Amino acid sequence: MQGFFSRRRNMLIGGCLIVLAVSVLSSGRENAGPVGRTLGLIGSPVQSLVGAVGSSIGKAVDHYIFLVGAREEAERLRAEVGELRTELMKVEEFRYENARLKRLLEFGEASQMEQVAASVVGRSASVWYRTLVLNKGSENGVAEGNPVVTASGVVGRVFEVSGGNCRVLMLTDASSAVDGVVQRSRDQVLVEGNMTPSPKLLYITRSSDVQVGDKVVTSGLDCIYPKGYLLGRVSAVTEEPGAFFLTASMEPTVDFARLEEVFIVTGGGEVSQ
Amino acid sequence: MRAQAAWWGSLLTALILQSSVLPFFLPDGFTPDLTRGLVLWLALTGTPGYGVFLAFAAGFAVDLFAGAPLGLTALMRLVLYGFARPGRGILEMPFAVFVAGPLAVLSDTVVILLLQKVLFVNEVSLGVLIATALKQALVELASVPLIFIIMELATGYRADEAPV
Repeated sequence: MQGFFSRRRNMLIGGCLIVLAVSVLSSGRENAGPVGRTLGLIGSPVQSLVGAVGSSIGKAVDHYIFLVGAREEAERLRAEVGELRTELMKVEEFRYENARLKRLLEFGEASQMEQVAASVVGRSASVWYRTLVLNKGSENGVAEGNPVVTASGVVGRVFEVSGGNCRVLMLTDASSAVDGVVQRSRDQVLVEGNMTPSPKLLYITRSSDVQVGDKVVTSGLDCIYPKGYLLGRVSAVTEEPGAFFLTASMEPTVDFARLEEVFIVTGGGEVSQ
Repeated sequence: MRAQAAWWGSLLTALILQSSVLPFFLPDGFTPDLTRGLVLWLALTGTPGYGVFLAFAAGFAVDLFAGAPLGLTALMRLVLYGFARPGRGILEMPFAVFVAGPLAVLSDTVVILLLQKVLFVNEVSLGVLIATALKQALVELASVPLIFIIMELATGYRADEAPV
């Protein structure tokens, strides 16, 4: 008998291992035999532990792969959002530019005067002066003394011209003076720049009916600015005792801080308001 | 050589910034005159040399850019250089750089006050001139230290080590 087992030891061990393997394999199934159930009871916790660890590692790998993917996706989307924002800003800028140019074009067509459209390329580098640099010059027919206007009103006049650009003395400069008329009361005034955003209105008689908010337009009498261009609105009127004239100031209708495109009037005429 | 190149480069940048960039972003009257800070640097540090000629050149360049009466800013910069030159060495004192800017504005304002009848066709009230100067002084309070830091980096020269 002993000889039988010793002769078939390898076969027996192999068979036992096969049974064990099958039992372990079938331990989770309902129809497992008694050996399978016993081995299943012993092996279950180990198997659960191994399964849990394996599952955790699997999930972690999955999450990692997902996170790597998500991060790449987020970076791609972030870049895309950035590009779209830039595009949107460009579109917005084009929209505003379009609106501005449309107004300018309408104004240019309505004024029936020879005009040259120009862009503001520079401003005075000193606070003691109020000047602009435009990108049009004598090559474009611009000459000294030409009025510079926008759809909103008068900007100033050209005081220096070179081939490709010109310099403009703004309405608010302390050396600027324009002959104007108060549109409603028909009072003749001199609009004098004084380095502040509100030029002075001179020579308004005390008997005048000038009121805050009245429009002031060019009179055409100074032979520089054609008649009828809007200069601004009366912003303050005060009566000082003993003074022969009223003290008044005007708020220009042109927003000098945001000037980008203007018209240089190169030919005479009259504007219909 | 490096100091010369740095100064001329800074002057060109300053002119472009103050005539074509800053006025579009800053409110009226609050645009800094960067060349004023550069001339102050020249006067208080002596770097690069021949500061008086460079001060004149800086002013003249502003006149060309600003369309101001040719020579006015050049004169203002020369006066500023003369006014600030004896102060060489004061940068060793703490906070001296913050005082230098407003004092430079005072120098400019004095020139404008003395020449206003010649410069402006219209009458400009003293109140307006003082208000303009005050705005500028406020701006220079911030811009001059910044210019000095940039010049220190560009020239490799410490402003507080200027020989008296």
